[in-house]
Amino acid sequence: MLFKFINLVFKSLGRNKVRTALTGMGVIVLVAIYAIVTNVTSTVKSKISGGDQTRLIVSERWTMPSQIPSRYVSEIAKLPGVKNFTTWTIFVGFLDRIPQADRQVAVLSVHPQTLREMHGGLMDLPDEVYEEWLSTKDAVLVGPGMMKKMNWHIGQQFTVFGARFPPVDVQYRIIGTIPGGEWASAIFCRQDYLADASDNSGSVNAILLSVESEERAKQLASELSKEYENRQPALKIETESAGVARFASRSTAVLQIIDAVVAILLIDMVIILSNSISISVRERRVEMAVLKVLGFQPLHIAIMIIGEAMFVGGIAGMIGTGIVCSISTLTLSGAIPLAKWNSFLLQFPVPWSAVLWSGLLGAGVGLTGSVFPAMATRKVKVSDVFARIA
Amino acid sequence: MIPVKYNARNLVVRWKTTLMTASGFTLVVAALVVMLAFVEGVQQVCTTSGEPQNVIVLAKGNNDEVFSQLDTRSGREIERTKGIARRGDGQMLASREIFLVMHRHLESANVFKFLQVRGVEPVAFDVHTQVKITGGRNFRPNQSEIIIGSGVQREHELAIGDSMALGRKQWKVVGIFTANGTAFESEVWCDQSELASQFRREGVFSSMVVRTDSPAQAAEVVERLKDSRSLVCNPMTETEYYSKQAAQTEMITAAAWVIAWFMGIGAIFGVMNTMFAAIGQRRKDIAVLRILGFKPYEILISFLLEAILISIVGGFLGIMIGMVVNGFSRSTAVGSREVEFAFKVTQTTITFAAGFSISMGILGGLLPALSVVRVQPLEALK
Amino acid sequence: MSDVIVQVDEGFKEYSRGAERVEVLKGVSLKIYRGEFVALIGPSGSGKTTLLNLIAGLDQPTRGRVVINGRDISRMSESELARWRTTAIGFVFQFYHLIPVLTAYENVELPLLLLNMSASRRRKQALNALGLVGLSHRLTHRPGQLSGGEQQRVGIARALVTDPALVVADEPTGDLDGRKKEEILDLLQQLQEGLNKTILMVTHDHTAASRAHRLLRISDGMLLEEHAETREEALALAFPDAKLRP
Repeated sequence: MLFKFINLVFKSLGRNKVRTALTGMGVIVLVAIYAIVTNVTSTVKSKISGGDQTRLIVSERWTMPSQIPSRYVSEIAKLPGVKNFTTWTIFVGFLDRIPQADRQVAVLSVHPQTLREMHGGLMDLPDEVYEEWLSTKDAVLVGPGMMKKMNWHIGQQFTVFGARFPPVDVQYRIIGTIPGGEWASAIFCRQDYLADASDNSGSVNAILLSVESEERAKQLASELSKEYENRQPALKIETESAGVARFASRSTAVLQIIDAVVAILLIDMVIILSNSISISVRERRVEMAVLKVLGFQPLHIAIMIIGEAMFVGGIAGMIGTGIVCSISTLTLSGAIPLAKWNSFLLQFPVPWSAVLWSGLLGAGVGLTGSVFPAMATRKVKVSDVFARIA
Repeated sequence: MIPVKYNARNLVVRWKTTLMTASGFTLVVAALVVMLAFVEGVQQVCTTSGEPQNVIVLAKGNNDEVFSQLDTRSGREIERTKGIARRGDGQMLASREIFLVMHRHLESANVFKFLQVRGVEPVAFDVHTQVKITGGRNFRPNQSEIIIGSGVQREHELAIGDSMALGRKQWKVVGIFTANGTAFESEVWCDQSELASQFRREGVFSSMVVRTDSPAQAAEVVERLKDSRSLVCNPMTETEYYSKQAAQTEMITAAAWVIAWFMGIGAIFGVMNTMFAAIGQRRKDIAVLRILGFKPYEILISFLLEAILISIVGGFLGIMIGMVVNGFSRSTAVGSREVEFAFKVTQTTITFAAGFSISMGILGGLLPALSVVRVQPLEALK
Repeated sequence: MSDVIVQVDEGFKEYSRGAERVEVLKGVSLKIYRGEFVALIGPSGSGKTTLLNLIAGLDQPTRGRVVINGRDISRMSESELARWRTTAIGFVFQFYHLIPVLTAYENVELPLLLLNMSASRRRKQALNALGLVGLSHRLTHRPGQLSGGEQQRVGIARALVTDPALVVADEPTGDLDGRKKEEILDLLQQLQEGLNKTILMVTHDHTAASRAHRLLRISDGMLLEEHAETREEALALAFPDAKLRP
């Protein structure tokens, strides 16, 4: 039944092309920014809530930055139930002897053998790159964002002048890049190399453990907390997601503001669509009366109007996010030069699946925005059609 | 000129559409005001935290107290610098401070929460003059006593008499202080040497804050420290130090404007719809006005004014709604620390928001208004 | 040929205008027989549109009964009426009221969409109706691309497409002049004669009224002596200034 009216729905949209276009563009713009913002927040949030409960972060109990003696590492890595582990040590410095804020880098040194297993998103690192990483002591793997920002190329060597005093300079060789996403701006180096080069084999910043089961992870966490409670330094053990959550909680206010803005974006879309639909309903009162005279039920008419709105909303939503996804893909592939405005896309690439979601969202917005104007057509009186329209 | 009354009446007659269009503006403007109030609030905390006649000295290469470590020798060198003020009793106003970001375990929620602890000597209260104990009393050295800022009191739900674990000791809250709404209010203060021994920081400290007699003196002290041959350190005025911490808010400001403009463009399309429809409905009016002798540009301006009128109504409501957050306290990360801040809707923000709203009105109204010129009077009256 | 298509018994219609109650129809009774071409005439405000609305199932009487083709429609619900109208009544309007975005063909097909009908059957019926009004060559034109006369033909085709027993026409020539008006009246007359349709036409126009078999004159909510006059007498009474057709 409804299918038969689709023609009328489409043609009605062509009635006032300017209005349809304006409404569509309004939704496109809002959906585009919505897609960008929610993509960022949902990535952050999924790290917090969707975290893997078998992954534990071991760090110093009390103070930040955390320093864990290296002797702890071998003790903890040997514990039953630990499937895999890595250490994290962050080396901050500048690329030039004279520090410049935009040439500051943080190199994350890790246990070389478990690079792929312990860092989500690095699983797909090609074997040949991984082999080279294992065989090159001064190797670094760099995220695409950082590569672009610093204008580096594979094979290049660079020196990081440590920000601490007394200064330590460490030389690195870029042997490959890692996929975008979470590690888009990261620089990975080998812990054994950093320890040698910086003459600090005494400590690491944190230990990451992958435990065989959730049950064992919980057990291990409490065992470790207890065992290291009275040692110097003491340790704290938390799941990876709890660790992320702790840092994210410092920005709760920002996240809440963003959530409010996202809600406003949605309401704004509904308002724009609703306004446009109301105007066109008002202009088409006579036509609706005629349809009713011909035997159309109020529901038919309401559904056609809602259909129009959902169609515009859905298509506009898909176009808006489609544009964002294209920009995101092109940025990742390097077709669009990296600039201030698009570098965040390396960190938070918008997946193509978002286009589908945005289509649904747009249709939902269309539905919400058109229900009331569509209901208003009930008030159109068929008996007025002869009398008043002259 | 066509009287504005004509437009106002029309807006009132089509009040549903007017309100709906205006509410698009209202939301955008309200969002902008809240976002800017957030930034202003954080910046306010950061810019007022530093006192212009104080100089903070950090270890070379460090811009943040959390990572900085100075030793006693450097401390003595710094104190030898000319220009440091003295207290009435002759005590030099140079405060060695240990600043630690600690993890406090909240038993109730089984999570770790950040807590900023500053170990100070008594002279610190004469260097950071904004800090005032408002409840309880000051801590006594070696008694495991702490005083907490009012922000900590709120965020960590602590009160005088409570105790909490820091390291292996239980510390007792004996006092509460305020600091003029600055970043210090988000800190816990305690005795420096007691904190040092608890966390293996004997002989080292994070920073040294020295007080001078005037901002000009402070600048001189900074220069002297930088030029010193015997000392390698990173000195800066306290004001500069805290302002640098606020630098990241610039990114938030930029993001806020980007988001606001995107939303604004959405609203502009909305107002264009409304205005095109309004003009469509009033083609006859336009024709009559033309026949009465009004010039096309006068009619154009009249319709543009109508769009602006909508944006003024919407913008005004938006600013009103945005103002609601004014003064609302929250905490957020700034650099490596968390600070308590209050949303602050400033005059500048209001001016920007109003300007923003009106420019949306103009942009949205212009194209439809231009279409008025194309209305052929006789054609329209048929 | 003498079966009754329209029967109104003691039809009353009141409206409330503020606190005031206005009686627009004051007990109208009438009968229209199958195949008749009837013109309903009367001054503005006489109640002729209200009567037309009642007969066409667009409104319901306050009191009295309206029976169309054997069905009492005066107590049907709004949605029942809507369903009923699609097949029972064909509507022709003064301003055609075609859907501007649809082609001539699609406009005619529109009422058929409401019926449970296969696409091929819809197509056949719509083309047939357009053929009857002589517009087989204008199928893909939209109303804006058609002349007034052509638009009204499309309107008539749309009224016929569901094969209703009764066609109601509200000033069908009111927006046309001269030749076009005659053409439309010719068309209506042909349909009435050829297809044996019953036509009820409201008009102010003498030329149009003179084509009807019978005139119903309404004044102040009441029909004037329905059977008392001949068609010519009635025409003369209704249009005192006009010259009678020979």
